[in-house]
Amino acid sequence: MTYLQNIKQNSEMELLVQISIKMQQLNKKIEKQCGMSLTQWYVLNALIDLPGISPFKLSYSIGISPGSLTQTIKRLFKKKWIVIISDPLDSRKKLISITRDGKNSRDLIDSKILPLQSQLITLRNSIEELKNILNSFD
Amino acid sequence: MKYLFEKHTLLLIESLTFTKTLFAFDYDGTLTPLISDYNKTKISEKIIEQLTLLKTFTPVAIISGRNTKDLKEIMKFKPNYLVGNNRLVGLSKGNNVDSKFEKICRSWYNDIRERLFSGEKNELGISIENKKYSIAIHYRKSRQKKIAKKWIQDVLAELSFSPKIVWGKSVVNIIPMGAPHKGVALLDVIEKSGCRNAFYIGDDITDEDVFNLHNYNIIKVRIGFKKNSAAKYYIKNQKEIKSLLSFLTESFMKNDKGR
Ligand SMILES: [Mg+2]
Repeated sequence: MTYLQNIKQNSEMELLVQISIKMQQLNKKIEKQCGMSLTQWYVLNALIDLPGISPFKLSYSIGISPGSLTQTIKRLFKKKWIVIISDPLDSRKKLISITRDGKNSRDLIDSKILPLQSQLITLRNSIEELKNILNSFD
Repeated sequence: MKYLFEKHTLLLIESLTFTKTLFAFDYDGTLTPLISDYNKTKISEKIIEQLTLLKTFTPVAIISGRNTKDLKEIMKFKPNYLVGNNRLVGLSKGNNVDSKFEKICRSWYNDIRERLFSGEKNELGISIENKKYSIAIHYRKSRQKKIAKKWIQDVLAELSFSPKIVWGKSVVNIIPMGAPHKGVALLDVIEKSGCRNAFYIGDDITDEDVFNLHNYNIIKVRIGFKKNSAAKYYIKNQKEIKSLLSFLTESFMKNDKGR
């Protein structure tokens, strides 16, 4: 039996895989239409309240692993939505802040998402349930 | 230290205006130029105007070692939070309360020193500094920082007159309750204001108590470059405070336009 067949037999597993794939598709779609992925939005949104934070502390605050955060940070920097400066007291450390462009882009996404709000709200319970399931893995 | 008016640093400062940030200032030498007659210092009309505008966008605090009553009289600007020497007793020159704090600090100093040098603990690389109204215990040079920190915590728990404790980067400051300390004053004001972030600018040694705070959410700026200052950023002189205030108020105004 191949690996994939094995997964398909297990319908619950399949469900999880489907959710993961759908989320990736949604992410891609939003990124294509709005120029910003959900993760990028999430990081920008957090940065608004955490100006001048180190990537390490940011990763801890928002629960994204340092590895994937690094990728997001690189992309945001390329788009000039964030600024990275070295810590004046320790040049090995970096500090990140959102730029005005970054803030404006985030605001724009917010206004695009707003009309979808009522549809998204129905997802809230499902997401809470999904979270509970994920927590039981810990 | 980094110059505040560098392009990238300014972007960081600008980002402070996107969220709820407390802007706190020292008074003498920061909002006013230092002149030989302490009583004749005057805050310029331009700066009053700028601070008043800034206050329409965000909470503003002034934390000074001056007598609070004096401060209220000489200042035509009314900040959201004014901390004078009624809460920073001792930053102005001598009174009885000062000597009380001094005595407490001296007894702590002797007590901790005794423990430090009576046993095996000096191997931990801990050193102690009496700063008159506060004690700093450093463990930056320690090779066993965790053990050093634990040892310090144990010692602090046993001190008479339980102190206010402010942890910094490999240092802990202990301060008698009610004693002068701008760092503690700023933390108080931040809490009261409900702001998550703060900006502080000052020019002298008492401002180092703020600069030494280990909170990443406080941007600390010194007036004048100084090699050993704990502040991360500096402006060249007091005159540049006007440019700083202009930059801040303009950023806030741009935010409003974007809405
Ligand atoms: Mg001063």
